[in-house]
Amino acid sequence: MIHLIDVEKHFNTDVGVRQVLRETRLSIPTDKRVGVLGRNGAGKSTLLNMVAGVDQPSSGMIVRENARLSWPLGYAGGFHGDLTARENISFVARLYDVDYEEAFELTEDFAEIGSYVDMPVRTYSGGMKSRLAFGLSLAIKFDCYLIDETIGAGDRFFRAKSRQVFLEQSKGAGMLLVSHSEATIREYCEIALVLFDGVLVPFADIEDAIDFYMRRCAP
Amino acid sequence: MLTRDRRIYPVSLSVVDQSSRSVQAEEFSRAYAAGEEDAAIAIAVTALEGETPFIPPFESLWWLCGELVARRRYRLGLELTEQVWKQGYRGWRALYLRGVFLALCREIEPAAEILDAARREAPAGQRHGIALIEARLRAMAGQTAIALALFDEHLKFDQVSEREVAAALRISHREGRKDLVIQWAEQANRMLGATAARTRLLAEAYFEDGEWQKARATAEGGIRLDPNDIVLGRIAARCAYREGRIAPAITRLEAQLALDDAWVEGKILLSRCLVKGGRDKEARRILKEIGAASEYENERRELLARLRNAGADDMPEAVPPGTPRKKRGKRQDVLQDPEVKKIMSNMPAEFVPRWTPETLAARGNPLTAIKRLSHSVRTLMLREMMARFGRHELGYLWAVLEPMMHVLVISLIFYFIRARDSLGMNMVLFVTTGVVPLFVYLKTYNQLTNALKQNRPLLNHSRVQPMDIFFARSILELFTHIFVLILFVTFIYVFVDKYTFGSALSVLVNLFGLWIFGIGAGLALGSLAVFVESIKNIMDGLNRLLYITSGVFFTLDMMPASVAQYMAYNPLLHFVDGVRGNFNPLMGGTRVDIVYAFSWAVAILALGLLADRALRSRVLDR
Repeated sequence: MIHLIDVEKHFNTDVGVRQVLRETRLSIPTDKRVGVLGRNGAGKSTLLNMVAGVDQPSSGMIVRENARLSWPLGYAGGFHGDLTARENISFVARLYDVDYEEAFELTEDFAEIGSYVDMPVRTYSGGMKSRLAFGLSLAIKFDCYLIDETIGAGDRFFRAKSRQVFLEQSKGAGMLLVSHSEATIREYCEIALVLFDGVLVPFADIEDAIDFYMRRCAP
Repeated sequence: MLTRDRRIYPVSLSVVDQSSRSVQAEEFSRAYAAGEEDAAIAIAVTALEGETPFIPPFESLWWLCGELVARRRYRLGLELTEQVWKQGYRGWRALYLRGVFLALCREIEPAAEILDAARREAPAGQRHGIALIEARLRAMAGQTAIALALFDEHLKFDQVSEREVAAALRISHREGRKDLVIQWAEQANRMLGATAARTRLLAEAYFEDGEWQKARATAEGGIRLDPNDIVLGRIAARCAYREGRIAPAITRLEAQLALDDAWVEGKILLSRCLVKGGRDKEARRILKEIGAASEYENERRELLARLRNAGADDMPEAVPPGTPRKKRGKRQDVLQDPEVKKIMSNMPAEFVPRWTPETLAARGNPLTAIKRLSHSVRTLMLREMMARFGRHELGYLWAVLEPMMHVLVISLIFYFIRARDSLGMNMVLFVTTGVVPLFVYLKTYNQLTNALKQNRPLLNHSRVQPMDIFFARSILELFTHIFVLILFVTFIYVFVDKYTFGSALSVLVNLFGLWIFGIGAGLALGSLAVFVESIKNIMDGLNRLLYITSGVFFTLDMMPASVAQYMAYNPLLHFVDGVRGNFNPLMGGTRVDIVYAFSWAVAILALGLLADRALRSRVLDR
């Protein structure tokens, strides 16, 4: 479970305070596939970042209970540019207490980066980096995956492959997927929250959520 | 201007030698004088087609040129004006005639140039006419800017013809000079009477300028001239739509569509108005009628989707015509929204808050917390070390080389200023025991000021918390420099100078003091930079000052009492002296106040921790 305990988030910008999330009190199940629908700039990514721990709530707290939570799927920013793929994988494997050899093989097998594994990650192309990140996300088993907009990485072929492998791998696991696209939410999620003007409106039924989103979030 | 009237310009000119006239010219003037015009022209044509120069009397020139134009003998006219030119007649008329014939022979640019010269020579009354011809030539030659300027200056609406106005309007319209179109079309309509064509241009210009009301009034005026003008009708309808009043817009659009069934854009506009007016059925019918193959397909789909949605929910979104539209901008509070309120008060079971006091208490369990922390910190330290090894060729060696270089350089300075004897201990040892401890402070400070910003991506791992990053970085610095210190002093003991060593614990305690001072300063500055970014620069400057005043170059005891009393305010100096005292009993430092220094360190650490906790979310936001 991810508990949002009176969480509130705003940004102080040069042009004034921007409220992203009003005081929110709810629990998000980590064993279900949960979607968060919202328009561009509604604060979906900030919400995801807060759940991951990158952003901090302005007040209140987020408690992650008994769940192995992934980092945002395919996020490549966590790699240390001066380290090789091998070293980066070893760091992540150690961090999550999984077998390094196994994680390395799975990642290497998936990411198709070949002899580059022993080069510093900063020398990688964007595509290679995102394939590596996605492969690493797959190499470690999580209870709940955090996903920002898209499942998959790289070009369309690789994207199809990664989507397929991911869905296979994540069977039975929960996910928290934030997206502006009702089609994506409909495809992957069971229940949903609509982020509407700083309020997380909960729905047990996807279609209700999409209906609400289409009607009320429209400009 | 070229008229067939032979007596308009009775020119008599003495410039030309009359005796040089040819036989043909004689015959021509006789015929001309006798009024036998056809005969005269026949003579002139034969003469011009022949080889010998033919110069008619000048008083007949204007008339002859007019006749040549009427007979479309442009080349002959050109020939004639050329010969006149050669004869030395350079008045504005000669220039003008030559320009006209050049133009008629499609020599546009030279014609425009000559007419330009003619205009300058001509009397004021003639200038406008010449200018207008020149303007049209300029436009043909692509020199539209000049053309427009000429029109602007010389269009006199009380004396121009429709054709010239039309040319001017056409050019300015093509050039997108809406201001000129509006100005000229308005004047022309006023002075010459309105025409449908001109009104069309005027209405279009207003429309493009966003002057809906003026455009519509103009277009309506034009429609009165020509009720079947489709362009004017469309403009009027579009304007009615743009003006935003639904009922008149619908009337106008419907009227236009009755004449103009093929106008898809109009249908889209009409259905938009109908949707706004709540007449969904009619809108749907029109949208169906359009079919899918138009260029407005996206708009059509969007409207149909809106109609579907409006039909799906039971809240009437349609506003009856006449009621004021809901004002935008001031948003209603979502939490007060009845629909949201209803959902929130009856939360789906999946999202109902589920935490219990036990859930929260579990987080406070010190054992689990320390286990997690130590695991995470160890992993992060390993990562950082690997990164340092891999960063460049020197790798981790740099951690040793950098303080070593400082030691060497400062030792050399001491050596050359012959200060080594006054130090009271081995010079290199003196410098080492000053530089390395101070490095503990400086490096820790450096690593922590930007720690969160630089490692922000790592926080994506839910197992990594900000504090872990601080711990990992600072512990690594402490260990590294303890190692460096041991390395250096061992080296000195073995190879340079045997010294008596005091207490390792005392050294560690002092280093620890420097370390927590560095942590506190790093955290505090890193957080406070949220308010003033430049505070970091100030601190960097201060650190350079501290490098000089914190015991690398001297001890407190070496100072005269009057100075030492002020130097002793610097807490770092006490720590450095404290470390050094363990390598030479005489350097113990009678003035060292370890309690003062530690109080400082603890206070700074507390400040850093406070600032970090208070500002962490804002540091991460940036």
